Amino acid sequence: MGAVLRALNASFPGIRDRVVDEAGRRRPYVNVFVNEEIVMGSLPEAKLKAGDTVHILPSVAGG
Amino acid sequence: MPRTIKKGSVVVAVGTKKGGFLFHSSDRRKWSVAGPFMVGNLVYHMILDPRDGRTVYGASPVWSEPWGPAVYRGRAGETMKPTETAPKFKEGSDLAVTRIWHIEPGPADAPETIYAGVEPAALFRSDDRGGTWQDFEALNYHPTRKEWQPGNGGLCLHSVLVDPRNPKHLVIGISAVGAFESRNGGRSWTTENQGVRAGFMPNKYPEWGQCVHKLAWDASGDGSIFQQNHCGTYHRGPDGGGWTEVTKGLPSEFGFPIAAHPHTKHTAFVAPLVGAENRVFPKGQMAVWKTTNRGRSWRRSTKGLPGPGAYMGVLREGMTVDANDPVGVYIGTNTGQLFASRDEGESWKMLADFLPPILSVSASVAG
Repeated sequence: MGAVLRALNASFPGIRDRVVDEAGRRRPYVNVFVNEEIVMGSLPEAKLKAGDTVHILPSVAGG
Repeated sequence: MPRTIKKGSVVVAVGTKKGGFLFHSSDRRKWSVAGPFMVGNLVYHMILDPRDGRTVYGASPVWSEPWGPAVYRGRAGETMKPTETAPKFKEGSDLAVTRIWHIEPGPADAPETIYAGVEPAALFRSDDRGGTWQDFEALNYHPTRKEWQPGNGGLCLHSVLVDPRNPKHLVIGISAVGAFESRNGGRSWTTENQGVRAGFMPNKYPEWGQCVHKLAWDASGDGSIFQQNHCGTYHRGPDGGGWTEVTKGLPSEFGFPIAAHPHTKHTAFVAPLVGAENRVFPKGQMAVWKTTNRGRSWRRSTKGLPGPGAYMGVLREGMTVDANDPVGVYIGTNTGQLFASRDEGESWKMLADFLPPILSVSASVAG
């Protein structure tokens, strides 16, 4: 996933900072799904294989 | 500059819980409003850069909260967008910026320089209007940092004073940590809390740990500073050293904003609240208190302000002054009312009601 975020950032500069903070932690209100399964552990270390579908979505939260 | 905001107008930038607004007036009698900008976002701080009177900066998370903090930039009256990057701690520090609390313009001769005070407490500088940021390592990784504890509002660096006589002279304030000063452009910092009470600590006068709420230069132009603290109001003289408590004459020791007169020395405005346990105006009467003698005495002003029955408060960025003569004073409440005085705080008029809760108010002149 770390490589995916870097590649995404190359196409859309700044987008990586919106998903993870500078320490590499997923932002608290951003969820990432791989094949519709939520990633709970370290985001940069999550494993992907060819053909996987990744969704990056904000939580339903606010006030 | 869009035609809607005339050159020479006073512009009051108002950051709220749901976007930012620009109130503007050429005579300070009849006001118009532009906005909202950063629509729907928490806007912790919003300023019109006084150096060009055209560039507006906002401190706000992207899309309210989920996507992290950003500095927004735009021309006054036009759409504001996040700058290329937000302030960030250095790699490997394990720290991450969660909020941006304050944006401070740099020196007059460096018009692209701005400072950002953030949470967790740290100071950053950009020399390209927010495109890239430098980390003040001597402050941000200060040896005392491991013992810094957040206050109720978070571990926020909210006050940044850049000495107009010498831009290498910086003073900053951090809630529940205190004031720090650098005289070498941020290469080294000293704690500057002597004489300031920390009533919530076993040692009431520690070297650091005081809960500074806001700092403001005294117009004396000699480096004197006013401070509103969680535990009292203070003034520090031109040579640094200890602070003198000047709370006597005020209805409480607790308040958030302090705004200093831009031209008349030893003159400042505060808005005391009942106390830490009840952050509303005493007796339900909104009031601004003014000193003209560096806090030796205070005078209360309520003419045109609501009460009794006005149980609201004002947050730390919620009061400011313009640079006109006579000076205008502006105060925004956490219940969404904006008030203005164009006679140096003697009387007040409501400019807006029913805004979202107001987080910040700052004034400049449109260029």
